[in-house]
Amino acid sequence: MMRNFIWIIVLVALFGCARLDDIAFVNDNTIEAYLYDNWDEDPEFFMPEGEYDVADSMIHELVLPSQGPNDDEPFNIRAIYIGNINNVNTDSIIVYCHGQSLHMDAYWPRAKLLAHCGGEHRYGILEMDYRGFGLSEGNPTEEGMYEDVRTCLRWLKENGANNNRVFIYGYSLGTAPATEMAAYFDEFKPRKLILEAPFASAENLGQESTLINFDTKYMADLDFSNAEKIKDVSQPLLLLHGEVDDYLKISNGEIVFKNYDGVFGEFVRVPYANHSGEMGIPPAMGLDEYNKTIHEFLKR
Amino acid sequence: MKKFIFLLLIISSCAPSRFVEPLKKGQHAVALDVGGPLIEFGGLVIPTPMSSISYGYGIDSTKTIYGGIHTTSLFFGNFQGDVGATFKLFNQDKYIPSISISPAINFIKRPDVKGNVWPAVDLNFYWNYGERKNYFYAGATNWFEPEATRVHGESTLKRFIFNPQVGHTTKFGKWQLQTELKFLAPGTDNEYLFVPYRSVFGNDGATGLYINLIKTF
Repeated sequence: MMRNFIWIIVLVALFGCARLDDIAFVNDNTIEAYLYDNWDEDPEFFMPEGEYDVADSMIHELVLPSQGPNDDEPFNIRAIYIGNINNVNTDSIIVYCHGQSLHMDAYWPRAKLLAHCGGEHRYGILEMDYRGFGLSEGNPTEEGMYEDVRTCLRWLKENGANNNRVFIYGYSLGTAPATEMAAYFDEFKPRKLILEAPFASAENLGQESTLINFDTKYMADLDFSNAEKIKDVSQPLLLLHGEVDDYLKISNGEIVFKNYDGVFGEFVRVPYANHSGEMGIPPAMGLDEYNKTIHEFLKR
Repeated sequence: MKKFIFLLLIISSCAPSRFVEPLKKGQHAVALDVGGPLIEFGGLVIPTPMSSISYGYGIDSTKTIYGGIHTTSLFFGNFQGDVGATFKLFNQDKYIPSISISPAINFIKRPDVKGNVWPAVDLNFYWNYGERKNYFYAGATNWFEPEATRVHGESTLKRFIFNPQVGHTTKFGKWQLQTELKFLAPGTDNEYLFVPYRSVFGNDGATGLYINLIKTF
């Protein structure tokens, strides 16, 4: 009997290569088209009917080949640009990196809301589905996600955008590529960074949940270390976090903000706000107040 | 991100108390246990599917040494285990229970990570009853975090984690079936934690459920 147990241990150890990297992504790549207002599942939050509408003529779907140094082949990722696509070279643009769920349709209310920030189409909005999300090809990975956002920034550059008028905004999982770009993408570095409900790092999430000094490398190769990368961000930072966020505790945002040492930082603690849904930050603040906060930061 | 994230819990709270009652002198035992903290998953409340196997040897009727390997963690390429010893401190006197104490070292290592060690001490009170000498027990598993700082230079969240427990062991000849309910980290608010723990005390800590099958020989 003892010999059998030892064999089991040896075999499991030899083949013990399971990893949990996929846990970061709750993507849906089964859709056939983006439906925007006609998407009939629960969106990130509900918008008042008839307000913040975006004309179809202002929605531009993009297909961008994304290939990083570790990719054998390019993946066609999907993005949308909301605004006058002929004015990319003169517009101020918010690059919005969405969270871990599904695909861009789930975040359509947010895209519409930002398209009205500071007035209708005051800013062009560029949003992308990372590889494996929505109609984007491939499977999601941390590095792939960074590469896909780099691809979108390169598209802006190739279309004449001025990086001094480009601002990057990350929500939840999207705070990882947003911080990465703001810190390290020298080719086209966005001028300002907005983080909404960021996590400090995968390791911090593990430690806050287990109460012990646990290294997530035991289970996954995920890093997502916003708390370390933010040290290399010098641009202005606006950080918003819900005070009752029960998904990514506000302590995550506090650690990220504490480590920021750039030219201007503002931390908005939103009372009663949770991570998402009808008590997510925009509805909890009030949609107009939310837009005003974003606009004030971007124009200062 | 909560999807499957509960497997992070593999590191801690992953096994019931080992050998609450010491083995007989010269007796060997092999055990397989499954279970872990209750979490909400897919709309259901389930115990996390941790598993480990352990071996014990009775030095005499009051001292048992043991070691365990955490099999679920092995699937992730980690060498995680625990070694310890159970000492019987006090013999039962009618309704006054026997008392045992089990100091142990928990460890985990993988090639690309420096590794961790966590000391722990279990203290249990147990009451044998009936012809088979089945027993109830109540006690606590106490974990200690040796490092004062954690990731990003933050202070360690808790240096000492107190986990009270109750359980029962049923004996069937050379087999024993141990069931244990553990109250993990009471006093810790679970409402804002990333892992969707469930506790019989609402937002207070987490509740763990474990089953352990032991074969003696």
